[in-house]
Amino acid sequence: MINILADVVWADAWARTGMGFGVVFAVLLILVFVLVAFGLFSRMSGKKQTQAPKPASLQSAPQAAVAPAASASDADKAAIATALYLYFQNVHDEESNVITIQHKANSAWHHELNPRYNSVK
Amino acid sequence: MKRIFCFIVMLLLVSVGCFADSFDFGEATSKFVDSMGLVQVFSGDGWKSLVMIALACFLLFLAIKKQYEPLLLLPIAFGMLLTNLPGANMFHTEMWNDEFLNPESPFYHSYRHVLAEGGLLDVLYIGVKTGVYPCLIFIGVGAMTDFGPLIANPKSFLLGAAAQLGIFITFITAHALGFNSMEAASIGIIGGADGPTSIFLTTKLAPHLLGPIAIAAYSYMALVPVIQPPIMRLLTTKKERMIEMKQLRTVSKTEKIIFPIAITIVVAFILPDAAPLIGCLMLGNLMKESGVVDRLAKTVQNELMNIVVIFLGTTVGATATASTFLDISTISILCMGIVAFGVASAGGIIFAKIMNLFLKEKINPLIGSAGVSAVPMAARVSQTEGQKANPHNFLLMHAMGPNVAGVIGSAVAAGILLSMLGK
Repeated sequence: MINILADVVWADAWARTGMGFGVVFAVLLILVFVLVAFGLFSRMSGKKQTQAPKPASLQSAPQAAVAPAASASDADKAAIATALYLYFQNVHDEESNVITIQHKANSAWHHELNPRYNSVK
Repeated sequence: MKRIFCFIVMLLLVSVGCFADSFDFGEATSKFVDSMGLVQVFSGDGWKSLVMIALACFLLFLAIKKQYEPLLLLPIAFGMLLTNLPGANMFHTEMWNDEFLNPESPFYHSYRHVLAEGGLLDVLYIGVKTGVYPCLIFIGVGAMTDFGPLIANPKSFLLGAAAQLGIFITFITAHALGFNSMEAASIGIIGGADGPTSIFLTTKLAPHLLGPIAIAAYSYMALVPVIQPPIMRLLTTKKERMIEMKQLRTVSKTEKIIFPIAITIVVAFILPDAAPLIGCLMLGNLMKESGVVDRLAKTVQNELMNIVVIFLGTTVGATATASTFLDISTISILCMGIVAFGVASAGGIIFAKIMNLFLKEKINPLIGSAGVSAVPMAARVSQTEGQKANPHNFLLMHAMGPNVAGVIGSAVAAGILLSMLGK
């Protein structure tokens, strides 16, 4: 399967590489323009809708307040949850979680060395 | 009790005596012994099967113990085990390579012959050969993908495009190592970090390399958290990694519904060879976003996806027979696979840095590496690395844009390679 290096037609290989990568870029660049145009159009149509708002009834106000949360997709909710989790993880300092008791023989509180307690004995 | 036992023995002796003329005891025993896998392992090239069985067990260990992409690695490894069991005859490489692809053979492109003569895995492999399984998986992937971050920030498409550099650099490298154009393209597509796309293209261009390429693609995808961080740190400064990005705009439901339809039409008009993959991806996404076919969306996300993953994984593993896998080219493919992943990640990061030279609102270059598909692992790596540099950095949704753009980009790259090199 593996041939000798010299057998490779380098001009063809480089041409295919350049053309292939160029076309990938060109296609995705076209998609960028499509999406940008599409986004502009949808924002314009959104503005038109907001310019002529429907009269809001008393009942619709709380519904409107809840709507964004209800319309959030599962991925959005997951992202919000992750962000909150990571944020609250960073609120506290990280601790080693290792509990140690350091015995100090010369401490003033040490029972055996304290003459007051010894005298009580 | 003794009498009953004696009666049975007598009966056996009499029956053996009766059939002695037509039944050759020695020949039957010899046939049975010859058919035993244990005997076949220790004759001729049987040791190669043992090596492959050991390799399959190692991959099973990675899938179960280390949990490296277990959903696919486990069926792939077990398929590899089944195909290398001596004498089991579950998959016939010669049927697919020598007979199916040979124009002079009476069984050239004959699926009827496969159905009549093939083993279990041969029959299931028809779905791989016809390119059906990768497309069905793409429907499920589409139904599980949220293109919102990409619609909100279309520039992400460019990062997805830049990350396809890995495919084409590996294409040239494979040429340098002496692989022909079709083999080089199949090896290069590993850099797309997209299993179904790799399988789709390899089946069409170099089916004899399917086993090593699929194993390399899925293994390296599992290793994204190991491969990418050093490259990300090498190519970015701490200041760049600390860049905080503005929250993405909200994407309306209408935009999410029109997106899959528009992308399918635009891509198919420019590059019809990419239409099967892109079309299936967008069909699944439309099922999810339209909200009118919830049952179908759930089915393609779960039942269909799971069934196809079992068939695809097992049959792709089955192509890794000793004769095709234990070859110097397999080692080359595994080495080039990791190069492809590294270059793809680097391509995305470097392009993000180039974009920053022209953009008012800077983007964090770490999201560039998510341009390799590997959804959502690559985006998670960007998030983790971003947070290490700046705990207030939330890059996950920003990285999801290039991440899903990478899926589209690798499918487009596969389409281009297919149109240039396909028959």
